[in-house]
Amino acid sequence: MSEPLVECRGLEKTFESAVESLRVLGDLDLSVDAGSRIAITGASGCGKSTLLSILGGLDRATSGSARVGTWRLESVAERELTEYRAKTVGFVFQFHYLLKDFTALENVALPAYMRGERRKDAFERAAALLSDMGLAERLDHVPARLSGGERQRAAIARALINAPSLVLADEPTGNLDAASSRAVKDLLFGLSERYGTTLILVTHDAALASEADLRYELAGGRLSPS
Amino acid sequence: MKAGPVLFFARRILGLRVGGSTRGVAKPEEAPGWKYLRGAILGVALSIVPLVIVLVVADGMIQGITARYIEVGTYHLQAQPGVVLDLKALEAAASILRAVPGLSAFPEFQGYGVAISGSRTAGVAVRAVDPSFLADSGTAAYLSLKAGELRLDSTNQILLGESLAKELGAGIGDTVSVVSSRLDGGGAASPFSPKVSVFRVRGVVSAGYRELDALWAFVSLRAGAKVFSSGSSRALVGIKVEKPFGDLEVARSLARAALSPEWTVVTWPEAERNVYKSFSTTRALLLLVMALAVAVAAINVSSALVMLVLERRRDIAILKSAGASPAFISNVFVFTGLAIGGTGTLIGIGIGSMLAWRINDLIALLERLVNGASRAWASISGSAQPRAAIHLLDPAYYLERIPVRLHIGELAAVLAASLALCFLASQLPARRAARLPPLDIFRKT
Repeated sequence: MSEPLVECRGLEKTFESAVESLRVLGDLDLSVDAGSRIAITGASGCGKSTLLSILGGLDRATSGSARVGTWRLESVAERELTEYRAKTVGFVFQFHYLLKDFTALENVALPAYMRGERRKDAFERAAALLSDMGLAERLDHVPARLSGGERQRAAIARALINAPSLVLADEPTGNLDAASSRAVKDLLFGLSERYGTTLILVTHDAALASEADLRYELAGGRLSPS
Repeated sequence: MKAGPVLFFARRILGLRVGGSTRGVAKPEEAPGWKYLRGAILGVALSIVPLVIVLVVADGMIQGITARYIEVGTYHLQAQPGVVLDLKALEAAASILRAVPGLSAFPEFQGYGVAISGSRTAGVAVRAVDPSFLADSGTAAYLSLKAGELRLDSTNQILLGESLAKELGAGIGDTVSVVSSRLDGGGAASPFSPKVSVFRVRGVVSAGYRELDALWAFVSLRAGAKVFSSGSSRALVGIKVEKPFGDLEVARSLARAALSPEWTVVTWPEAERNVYKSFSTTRALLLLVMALAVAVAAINVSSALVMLVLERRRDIAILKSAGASPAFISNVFVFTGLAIGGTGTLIGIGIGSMLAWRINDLIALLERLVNGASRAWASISGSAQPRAAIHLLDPAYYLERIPVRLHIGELAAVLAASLALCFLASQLPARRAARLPPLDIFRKT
């Protein structure tokens, strides 16, 4: 039996401030096989986004271990996290977080270009990916000229451009109307299947969560199957 | 790390787009950060303009003033005998040097005395020169004839400096006596004995400096030998070369090789060390003050970048979450700082060079404006006695025109120094941008 792609053991995250100590994650265990799609639900503020940030190398756990592939996130140096974020994970945020002065094509091509790919190749692949997502006519549009659904599709393309083994999606349909939500859902799951990408998504959207292979609920700092 | 993506991102920060069509991309002047950048570019440009003008004008004035000194006074090189020489030996040494290709040689005696004309007296530095010195094109360029003739055909003729002539009240054809001391070495209480030599004024000359014109009197070399004894004057052979501001070492070696070992050959920067050092120090101080203005402009670049980093925090967080390294982020802002500095400096160099190139016309225009306003004021206020015209460049003390020459090397050094300052100034905001934690920014935005 192959090793899971994502494995968390005894993960804990506490936010310290001058007035209080807030424990968001506590003794959390998670195991995700490569290629599987899991959904995490839970009340607002329960720590879903914090878990994604830790798995995405944007934040550090207070204690416990988190491994993604060969990366041991609790001990990896800050400098190496850059490489981890560039090669292993792709983020899709609730708010698309596209660069406002860059076109859709440039937004998608930039991670590949930054990673060292030739500019021409990066732009060609980005154009192909955006066309796959039905944005062939929107390549030279800046985010302000795209609809909410189109922006989120461009953000998904950006998350996939470097062929990451893990895609982390934080409320990807949280800001979209029903039709756009359906399109984004189909895209996320369809591409995950097509490219064999592992998908961990955090959502309040029951319909979106129902499409996942496994569903967890985060409460009291721990995950439990739902 | 490849420079391509850094430049790609930095260009967009600067509002530049090269090729490709876009829909809805802000033009540079509409980009929010552009106002900071425009202010920083303008600041750098404005600080560079006076620096370039001072550099070019100071160089021009120093070279112009120095050229005057060395053409009429110091010569390009001087061969100084280590022993007391008489006229014959001095002329023989000059002949030897004239035979060396590329060298012109001018024998000279220099001594001091008191000039008397009627009831007036003045101290005088008597220069006994060869006719070839007066005929030399370099001398003619800077020693202007104010009255009479620039010739010394006999031993009783004298050329007076313009101020000296005024002080003595002596004109062309007038008689001037020069009292000098001769070292006779007799058995008297003093080895010196006074000698009175009578001359007739053949010409009045000006070297362009009032202090020199108040002191100098020229007589023929033979007259000099009579006025001064060998021990009471200084003998030298002045040497001129084709390029006095080039390397003088070759000329020095040739002169040394031609002369006997007791001769010393000094170059004009050595002979005029104090004057030259004074010019160089003044120039260095002026440039330092101007460089401080550039340093302030560089701090302005730093401030603009700080504002830009604040404005681009969200973009920085997005890039970091997409795998941009701190070095990538840092390089984007360093490049932006260099682009601001480079653009400002090039604009400043362009404007500064243009103004420096026309500095003489600008000074003339300024003089006309000031004097015109002064005359207008005098006529309005009914002042009976109009003020004397103001000359910013008084030819009595400086130059009539500042020789202007743009040195590409110096301008390139200004560009390099300004870029270095902007590079240093961009370090702080660039490092700050590189250290921004993306998650904190996402939470706040």
